Amino acid sequence: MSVAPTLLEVRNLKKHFPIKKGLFNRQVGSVKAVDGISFEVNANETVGLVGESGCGKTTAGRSLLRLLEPTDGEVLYKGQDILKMGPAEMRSLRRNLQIIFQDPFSSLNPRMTIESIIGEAITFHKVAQGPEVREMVEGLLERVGLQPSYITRYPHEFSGGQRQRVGIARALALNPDFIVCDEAVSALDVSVQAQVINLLMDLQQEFNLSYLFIAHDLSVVQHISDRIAVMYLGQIAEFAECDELYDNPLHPYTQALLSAIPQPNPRRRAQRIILKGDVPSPMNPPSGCRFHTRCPACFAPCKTVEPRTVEPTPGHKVRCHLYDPEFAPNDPDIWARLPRQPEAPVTVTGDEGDAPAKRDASSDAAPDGTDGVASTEAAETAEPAATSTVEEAGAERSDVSSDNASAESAEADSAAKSNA
Amino acid sequence: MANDSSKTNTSDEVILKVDGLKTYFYTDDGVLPSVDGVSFEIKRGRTLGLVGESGSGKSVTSLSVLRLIPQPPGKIVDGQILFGGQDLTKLTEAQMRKVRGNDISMIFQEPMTSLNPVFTVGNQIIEAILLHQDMDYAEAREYAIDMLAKVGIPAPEQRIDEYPHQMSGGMKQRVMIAMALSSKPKLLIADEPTTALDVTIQAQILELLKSLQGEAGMSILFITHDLGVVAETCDDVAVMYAGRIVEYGDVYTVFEKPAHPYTIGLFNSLPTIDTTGARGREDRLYVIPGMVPRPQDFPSGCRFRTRCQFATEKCAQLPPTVELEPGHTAACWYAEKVRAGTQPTTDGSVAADGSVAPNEDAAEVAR
Repeated sequence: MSVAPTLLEVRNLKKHFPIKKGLFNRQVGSVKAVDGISFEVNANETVGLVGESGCGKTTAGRSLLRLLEPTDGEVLYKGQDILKMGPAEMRSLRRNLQIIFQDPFSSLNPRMTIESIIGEAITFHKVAQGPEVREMVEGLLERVGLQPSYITRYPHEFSGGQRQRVGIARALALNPDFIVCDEAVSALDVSVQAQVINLLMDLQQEFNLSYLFIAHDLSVVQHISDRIAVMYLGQIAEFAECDELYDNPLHPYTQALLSAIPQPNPRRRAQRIILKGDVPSPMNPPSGCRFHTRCPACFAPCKTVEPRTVEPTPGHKVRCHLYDPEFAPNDPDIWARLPRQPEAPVTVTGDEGDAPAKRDASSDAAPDGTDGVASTEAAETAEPAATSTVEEAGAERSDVSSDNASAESAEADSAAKSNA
Repeated sequence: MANDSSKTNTSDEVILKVDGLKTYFYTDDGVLPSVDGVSFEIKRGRTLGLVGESGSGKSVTSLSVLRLIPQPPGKIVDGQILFGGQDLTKLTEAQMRKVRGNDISMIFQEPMTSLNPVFTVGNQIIEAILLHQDMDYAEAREYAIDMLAKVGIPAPEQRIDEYPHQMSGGMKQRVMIAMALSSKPKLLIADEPTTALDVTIQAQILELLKSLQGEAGMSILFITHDLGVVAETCDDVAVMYAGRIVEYGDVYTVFEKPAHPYTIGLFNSLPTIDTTGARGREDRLYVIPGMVPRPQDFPSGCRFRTRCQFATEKCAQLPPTVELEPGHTAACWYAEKVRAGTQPTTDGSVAADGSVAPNEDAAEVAR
């Protein structure tokens, strides 16, 4: 659906960490940190990877760069499987695949000057030598908004935002085309965070970069990403275009996650879906759907059968039985328990099953909120909640009708982007 | 939560009044005015949000209220902290110990490090109960189990004998809340209680605090850097910058009609999720130029003037605290003008959708 060529394709990537115990270090189990994720990143595109702590997003980012050796799967970079490459081949490829780390305080060696931190890779890959290295480093510093004279300083002399800029300059030094941004702005204050996000977006335009943007802050991810993958316990729960994901989240987890973000708007309180309980341990993930222990719309097969990834609308993948033609329930009660009704009719369930369910939900919106496992405080704010559902219902209708149009415009947008 | 009809415990009784608080740190680099003339008050049953970036002095303010500032190098050099009619700055250490964890409780940012790893959680809660309340051990244990149940810990009879490492971050924060609330405090100081937690867990904790507050009618001083959390939980908000409160008012007024350039800049640099479809990913975020100055580099007069687009020579003098409307103050020479540049959004729905609108206006003003 996009014109841009696929730069990096991840197929069924797995990373399991063994748990060893006892005298002979016998393996007694494994932490399935990443358990079969697939997605692709197109040229000049930003893919956001969001999820709560412990869902495996950082492990995913590191293992697809082979900073952690994956257990299984394929990572195709321009068609080549990098997991099968030898060490020498891999080393030269690392010029194209870079990473910006989360913590600007621990990711820079305190004993190295900025020049040697950034210049190390340049010398190692023999891009330049001698005084040229210094020139290149100065150029990079200038590009990321630091003064070239900082070249002789040490990391401790910089603030968090400045260090993150050094980290960015280091990643850019070899002119890569794919950068994993692992929580690159999470440790920064709001005003500095905005500066770094803008810088990342400018650099993407200038150097034709693709990002895998790993973060737990959904508002930042939405701002920067073209497409977003939502991870839960080592698997991708939902993967869609940014706007599609935020306008029409399908997976119950995505819906809860989106609603849980506090909005800087005092009048939009108390529409949150509160999930019960904690994220289960990846050492012993729940059977069937991994989300079923916290899911408000959990039904019979969820507990036993592992859901497949289905694509209810083109480009919108979701790993949930609700949208799988084989399991999709016709029972409107189950659909009513879903905190947010999907906008477009789910093609796979057929119109008869879906339409009444939708009507049901929109008319019974208020009781739905109180009955469901995940309740909003409907009683407290009965009036605003009611008005908002009416508004939403209106928006829903108009969106359904203009669905095709918006899809077209999205295509046009992405075409325009690749032209630019 | 002022407008919530469910809460009946709010009243005009002022629980805490901080007046002209100055906390300085005497270091080798000179005197650092971390908190420099901060005044606010919290009424019974209400929540005041203290917002600011790191280094703005919000945590020092809260620690000053409990007199937990390490001394030396820190010192409360001026100001009053009136709590229930007595000035906390004048109390002796022994008297202060009776206030701490009893009338005023605190929840810290890091649930992971604020519990002692070598004692069971029960042990730690019971210690606090025995210290402040007239109970024997068995009663205290019963009460601790009740408190754990109240904060939503499943199977509290068993969890009470667990060690902190056996619990998740959200659970630990619940334990901290149970401990803080066990003495039925009049004031709870929550210093970034959800910052270290995931969004879905954060939602649970905020919900919990809100319902417990409704039950107990306590006041909360909520310290955070997250404007979203403030919007969801607070009745009043004080925006801090470089040791001073730059804007203060009720949450609706401050969020919808901000009058200080820093507040406006802070709102605009926030990437917000707009669920109404009107959003542009290509839009650059608004950026406040420069960085928060270090305390030794605080500029004279208005401390924001080095980063402010409205700044003039006049700003080198200390700006007056202007009362724009009853209860809404801003420390800026040009507060009226700055506010006139932002669009008042009184209608709830407009505000919900048009959170971008003030941004654009402010950006125009900037040009």
